[in-house]
Amino acid sequence: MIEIENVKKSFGSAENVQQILKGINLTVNNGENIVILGASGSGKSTLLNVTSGLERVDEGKVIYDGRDITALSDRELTAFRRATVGFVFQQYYLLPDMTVDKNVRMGADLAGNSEYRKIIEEVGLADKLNKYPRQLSGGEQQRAAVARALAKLPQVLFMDEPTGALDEATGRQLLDYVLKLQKERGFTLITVTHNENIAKTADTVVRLNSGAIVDISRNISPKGAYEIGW
Amino acid sequence: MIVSFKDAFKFIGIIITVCCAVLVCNMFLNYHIDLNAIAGEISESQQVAYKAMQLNSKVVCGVTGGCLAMTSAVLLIFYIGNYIKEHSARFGILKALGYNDLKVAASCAVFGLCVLIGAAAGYALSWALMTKFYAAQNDGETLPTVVLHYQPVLLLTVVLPTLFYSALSVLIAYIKLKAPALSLIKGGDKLRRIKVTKSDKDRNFLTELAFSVIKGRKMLVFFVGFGCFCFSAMTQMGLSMRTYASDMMGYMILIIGLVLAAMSLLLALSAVISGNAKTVAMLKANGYSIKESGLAVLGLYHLPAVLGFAIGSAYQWGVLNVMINIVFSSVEGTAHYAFDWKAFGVCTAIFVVAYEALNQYYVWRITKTPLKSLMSE
Repeated sequence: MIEIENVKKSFGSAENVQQILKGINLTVNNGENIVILGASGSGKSTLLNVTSGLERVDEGKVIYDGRDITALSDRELTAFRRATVGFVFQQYYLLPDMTVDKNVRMGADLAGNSEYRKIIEEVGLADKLNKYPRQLSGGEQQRAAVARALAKLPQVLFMDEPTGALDEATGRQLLDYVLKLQKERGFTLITVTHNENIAKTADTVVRLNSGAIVDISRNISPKGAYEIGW
Repeated sequence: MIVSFKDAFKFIGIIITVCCAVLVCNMFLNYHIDLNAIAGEISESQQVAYKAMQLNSKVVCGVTGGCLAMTSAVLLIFYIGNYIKEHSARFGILKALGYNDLKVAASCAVFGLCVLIGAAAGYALSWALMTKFYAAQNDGETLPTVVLHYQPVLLLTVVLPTLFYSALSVLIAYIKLKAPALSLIKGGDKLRRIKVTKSDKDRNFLTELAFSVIKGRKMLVFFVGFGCFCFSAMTQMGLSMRTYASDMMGYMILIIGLVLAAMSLLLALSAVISGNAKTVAMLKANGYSIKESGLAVLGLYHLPAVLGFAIGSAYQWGVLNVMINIVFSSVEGTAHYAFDWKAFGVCTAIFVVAYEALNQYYVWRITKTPLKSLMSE
């Protein structure tokens, strides 16, 4: 379980401080699929970054199964990310000089996962194993990024606007794959998006506005990737 | 102005290298001209020593000045290539708007300014040291005293490099800007052609990453090797020269060696780090440790470093052996040269400590950079 307690985060210099997160409180259960919804500048990406340990909070706590990660040293935080979380970013961030196989292996080696090629097959990139990111389409690059995150066998997968740069068909395909896998493997999925439709696929929807949670709602029967509008 | 004067000042490496080149060339050429002027005063018994001094000034000027000039040219090519890569969108937009390649490239002539600054500084510094230099050269009392005269023709050591490097800057920029406007707008990375190489070796990720960081970056490998070569050759040579020539010669070579080594290594390692900032960010985000990240990005550069150091040691031994045991062998009072193991030991120890410290500094620098800033670059 992830407990976010009164998390605050600001950016900018002393004269021009911008409070991005204004005391966030949220609980995410293990295996839950949660979507954080908000407009651009609402603080959703910052919330994802502090929850995943990519950034430090100014105030508050982020507790994973009783362990407060805001109190960890840099070294401990690195070890935490290594063992616990996976990331999918809107810009993919694949390593440009490495093939799909090696990019995915980046995640797999951390978990000692020798079966990582199965994940590459499952995301439909078996024939692109030796291709470099520049030789792939946007959708293929994002699938490679998903495969890399999943090859790490994370307990929590964070996705920041994962379909933001994709066309509808590719976006649905990717979402369908991740949702299916989340159900199969039972990892916690936290997705940040501005797309209202994607929120319909989640167990819980958290709406964020100007750095504060304005609404938390539960979907009784979450929809599949092909059942929502786009 | 497409390229600002401020951009030119960033080429500090070139400024320092050109400064050293002009410093050495101006001192030895001035001395060489004044030495030629006393040819009529040289007796039969002084002929050997006189010719050796003439050869010495020519060789030092040619080898050191030439080597430094070549280094400046390589640095310039590298810096301008990097500059265009970093600002490729700006150049691409200008091309798309209809500016022709030559007009855009011509703005890079401003980089000749850094050569002018370096050359002028070197020229001024050489005159600040000239009296002491002549005193040291006249110290042997084997030859008549060489009197210091100002040689206006040597102002060309400032003018010619400035003109040459300005033209070279425009030429390099012109070649680099030949890429289509759209490719430039999309970014420097797109300019690089993909060379697909299939590796049958099933190496783990970090090993593969280490090879990919070094592969295709021959210029950086060269600079690391060259920096270590300069350090090894010139520090050992500098220490030995104090015994076989003069303290001043020794210190001069020592300082030039250290400057060249520092410039090359700082340039290469900074480029390695900045070129792999996003890779390091991803490694950090996924939980790879500082040690693992540092080894993957900088680890394989130890090979050219060690190789450069070894070749530098052999090179300085070869040069000193030829100069002292062959060229100056007939000059009375010249001691026999043998490989200086003590200097080698001292330099090796300093090299190991300094190189590792530099590595650790760069690893520290990347780990202290927030992930967010690395990713937003």
